[in-house]
Amino acid sequence: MTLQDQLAPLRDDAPSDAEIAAVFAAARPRPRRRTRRRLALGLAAATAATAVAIAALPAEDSSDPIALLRAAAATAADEPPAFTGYRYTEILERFNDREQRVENWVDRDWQGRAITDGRERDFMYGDGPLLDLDITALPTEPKALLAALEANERGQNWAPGLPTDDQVRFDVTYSLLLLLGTANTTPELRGALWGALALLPGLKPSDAKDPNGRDGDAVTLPAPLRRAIPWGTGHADVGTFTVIFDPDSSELLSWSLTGVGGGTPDQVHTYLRSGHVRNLGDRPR
Amino acid sequence: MIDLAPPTTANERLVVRALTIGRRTALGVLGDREAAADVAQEVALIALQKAGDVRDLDPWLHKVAVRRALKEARRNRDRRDAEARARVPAPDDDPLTGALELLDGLPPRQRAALTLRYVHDLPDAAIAKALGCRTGTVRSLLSRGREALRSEL
Repeated sequence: MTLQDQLAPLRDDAPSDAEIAAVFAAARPRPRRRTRRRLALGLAAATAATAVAIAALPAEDSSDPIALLRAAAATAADEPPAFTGYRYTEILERFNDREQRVENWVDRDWQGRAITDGRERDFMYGDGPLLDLDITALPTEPKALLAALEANERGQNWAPGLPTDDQVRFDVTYSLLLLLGTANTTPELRGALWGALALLPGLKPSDAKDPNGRDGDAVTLPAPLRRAIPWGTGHADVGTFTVIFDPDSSELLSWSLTGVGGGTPDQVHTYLRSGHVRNLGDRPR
Repeated sequence: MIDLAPPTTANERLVVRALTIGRRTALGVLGDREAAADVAQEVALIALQKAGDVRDLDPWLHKVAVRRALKEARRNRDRRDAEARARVPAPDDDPLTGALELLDGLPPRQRAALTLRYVHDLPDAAIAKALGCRTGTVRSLLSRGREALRSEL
């Protein structure tokens, strides 16, 4: 008997009406909550839709920041691939007292258009370490991705002096957040970006509302070294990155950078909309 | 919040396809009917949410199903081992039980590769995409899996 013959019973009957109905029932719009639904399906239930029960299981442990980020990585990697078009983001950016609203359309080559407070221009990331990065060549395994980003940071001379370990750590974290927010990547790379974030030291759970009051999962990471903080206002030593994201979509809701001692963040990036669109100027529904 | 169109013929076809691929894959990887039903439902829900723009549906569904099944295998390895020991044996003449026992004891990725080849009839390249590895790795997984099963065949 061949292996095909031995495993043929796995090609079972088509899904029952009860199973199909259960999927649609579980997919109905519902208020966000920190549970996921699980089909408790006994074999006898397959013949009767009324016998299908939906039970709630706890979601990822919200006190474990690594688990939260790994869950986001899995969600991101399951996204369908997009072969054409642009990643669209609408971001409210605040740097100290200055606030601007930015829309970006970014293609797979890190090119596109941006509209900042109504002024249209080419999309140009332009922040040193990421400027010449070939996104399509980045590894899709988190440890290798982290190593590649670190090597890229150490190989750049965009700031005076050689980057210290702390500065590299700051820049890598900053780069991961910018890539997660704006870059038009494959699902695999997007999953690896979340996975790489989960590898960084000093992760802690945090409050789960963004500046717009939206629910999400939240983590904080240390942001070391004063001179590495762009637009800094004299904060010393170690600040804090706060990252808030939607666990259902793995999209960033906001991230911010706060100086030592807490207080008002030096910069806040709130993602009002994000998604994939076919053409420049299109916006997701 | 998930915002979905009501069930339509197209959506129903999508759910049926996702449930079918999800369950067959998860059965092969996990060897547990209830866990496979859970994974299949997860795959179908993901498909309803995200499949709208997918041009090539089946490869994407295979990838999602494999990832979900392997994740479930990692998460519940210990629990399911205990449950398996306590489970009342199924009748000897149940063909599905026999098929699942055949794969029992193999590592999850080998089980996934064998299931994708011998249940879904996928070629090496498609299995590599679903598993997120090189085709050489797929050939190695299949070879080692077949070798392990040699005495059963």
